[in-house]
Amino acid sequence: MLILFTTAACGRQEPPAPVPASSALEQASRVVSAKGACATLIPQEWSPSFAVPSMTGGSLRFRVFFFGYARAADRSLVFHAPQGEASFTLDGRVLECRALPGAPRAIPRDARFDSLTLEELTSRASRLHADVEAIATLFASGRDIGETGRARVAAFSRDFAALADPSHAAAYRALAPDFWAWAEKNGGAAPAPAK
Amino acid sequence: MTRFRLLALVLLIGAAPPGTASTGDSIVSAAKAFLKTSCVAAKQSCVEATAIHDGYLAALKDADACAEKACPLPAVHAIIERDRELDAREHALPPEARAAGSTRPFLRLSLLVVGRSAAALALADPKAEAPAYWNPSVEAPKMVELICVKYAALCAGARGLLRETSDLHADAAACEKEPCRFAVQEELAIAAERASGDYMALSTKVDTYTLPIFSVINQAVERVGKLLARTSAAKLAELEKGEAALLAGVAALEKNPGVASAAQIEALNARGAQLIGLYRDASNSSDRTQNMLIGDAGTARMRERVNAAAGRLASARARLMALKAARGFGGPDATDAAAVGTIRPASASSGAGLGLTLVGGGESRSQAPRPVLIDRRSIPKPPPTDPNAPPILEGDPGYLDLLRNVRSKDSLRKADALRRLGLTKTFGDPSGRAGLVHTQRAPDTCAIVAQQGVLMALKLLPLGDPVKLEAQLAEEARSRGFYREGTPDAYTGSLLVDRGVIVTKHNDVPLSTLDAAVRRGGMIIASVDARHLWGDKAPKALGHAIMITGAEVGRFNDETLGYYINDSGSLVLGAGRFVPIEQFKKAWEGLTKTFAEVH
Repeated sequence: MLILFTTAACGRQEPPAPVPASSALEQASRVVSAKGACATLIPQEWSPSFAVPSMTGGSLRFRVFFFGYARAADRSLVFHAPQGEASFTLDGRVLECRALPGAPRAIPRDARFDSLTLEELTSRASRLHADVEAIATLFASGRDIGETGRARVAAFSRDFAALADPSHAAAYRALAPDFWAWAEKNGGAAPAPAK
Repeated sequence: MTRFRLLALVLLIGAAPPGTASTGDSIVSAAKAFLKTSCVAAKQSCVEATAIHDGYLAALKDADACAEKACPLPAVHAIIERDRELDAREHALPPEARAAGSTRPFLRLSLLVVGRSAAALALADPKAEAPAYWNPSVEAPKMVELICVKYAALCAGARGLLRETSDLHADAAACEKEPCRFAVQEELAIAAERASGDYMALSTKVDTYTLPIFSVINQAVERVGKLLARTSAAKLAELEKGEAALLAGVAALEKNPGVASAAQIEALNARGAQLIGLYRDASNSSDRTQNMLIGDAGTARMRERVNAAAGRLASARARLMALKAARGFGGPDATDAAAVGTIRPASASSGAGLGLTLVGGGESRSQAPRPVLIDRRSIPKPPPTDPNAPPILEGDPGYLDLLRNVRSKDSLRKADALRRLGLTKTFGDPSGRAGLVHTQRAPDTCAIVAQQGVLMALKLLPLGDPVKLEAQLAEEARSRGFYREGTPDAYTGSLLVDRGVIVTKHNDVPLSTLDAAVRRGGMIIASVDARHLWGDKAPKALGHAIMITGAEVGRFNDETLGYYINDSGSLVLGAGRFVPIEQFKKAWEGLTKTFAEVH
């Protein structure tokens, strides 16, 4: 019995990596559409994109765009091109918000995540938010971030590209051209559209 | 004006479409021809108009000369300054003296001057900046003329936008001078939001400099916002005062309930119904000003006060109902129109096809009365004390299976077992409310359908095709500014508030606040991340609104096991679907944590 217990203990599976708690940026991103001017401009049916840092205006802020969705005839989800955008601070203050004119425009389906569970997706999204928050600190410092910093930027760019919808690549670049220019100079890459 | 702006103007005027190479000549001759018209239309301004016209031509001549051969920088600055002074003088001319129809021929001369001045500035010193200048009320019409020169197809829209903005300013000024009715102020707010949206649409289609146009619109928005905020504050103060008197009256009756008469109770009810009108105006205006007065922390505090007032109104109403029942004048089931009463006399309006009494809104901006739909019919019945709920899981498990399932890791199975064993209590009215939902027809009407469900529960909608009613309500919400390809969080429940239903709104609140509201038993409209309800896999949240119709709570440990929801957007219609609390928590925390509670 002792041997069996010992064997069982050795064969014990490692617990899964803990799901990261929501970072301040993730929490702020989730509620931005209900704050300030966004509360009356951005429908709750629109999803916020991943936030991207920007120094436009002289201080660090984060920028998101919003996009709606609908069901196709085969009941799959169809997402739209950006329909609104906002700037906000890490403590949740909305600096500006606007709904973009024009009818919703469907984008091609991103099938990269079909094999992942929802928990895996949300976990990866949480990690990415935390990474954006950390990279934003490097970006806002204005200093040389060194080789370690550049390696982090490169890793962040890969993770971002892996999760952000390629059909939204141009929109992400337009959100914060200053940040992506900095990222490209520091070992990273701006989002590229789907080939 | 910055160098960038000047050069932009140069490029844009210079880059006129093919076939318009003589744009400059035609502008000059049109201005000359207009001068004659101006002098006939406004004799008293003829001298000034002539001086302005001649002034622009002189400035143009000097700018041309400096664009050909470099002039000293001060000379170029002086030309720019002359142009600005002429713009201000043109702006001050009577409308008939400065506009031919909608065209401003003198401003077009100014565009030529600016263009040539930019070239002259670049020649004089490529690094030089023009002197700073910012007067959007003067520059905005000039920028509209630039759009008209470059984008003929957009000209009418740009002019219409400027005219609408000018009307907004005039109407706001009139309301500042002499208080105007709330209905008029609300129409101004809707028009101001519309103007902002129209500007966004215009600015994406042109590559000219449009900031002055945006600025005058913004000034109008802020002006109307301040007006609305002042009115909102005044209505809220009046409401709070009225509530204090109402609650004092209710308390007085409660001290001696045995002698409270039906007339006394009805009088207080009628007073409460009158106060609902104030509540409605305060609630709607506090929501609208969130966008109009950006950065104003007072708007957030206003919502807290509105919520508190709503709570007091609902409490007074509930206490009066209890008094009425205690005195045997008619219990909760006997509540009827008299309990709410009328807020304003009904007019013989068409009822918008929704079978409701429309109340005239008094004079309005467009001179047509705005229909105001007021709740005349019923107030929410309290939820049943021992409500039924749809099955959590289908089937008929045996007793031993139930005992096993009580410890199941599957939270649905566990909740189902606990309920079947009588170890839980139900809050709200999940079964009674399950019929209030239908599959939404449009992709973005979830909040509309949720509100439709509330209106059906309150018998404020006629019987009919729910899809048609959904479309009608969406159109109504759109006309009120509450809906545009979806419902912004601030306007969830606003269709209900418009009808005098008491609604409190909360955003970015913890689950415990929502839980307390659900346990009060009323209908709740909540924003959720639908991925966690539908199982759809997407890296970003799917924003959605659902109605929470009830809750299942452990009878002995008082822990919430889950909520019953009506979900109009799921592939299989969610009518009284049970969602375990851990699953709901993910859906709740994945989005804005916003809900509206119907009282």
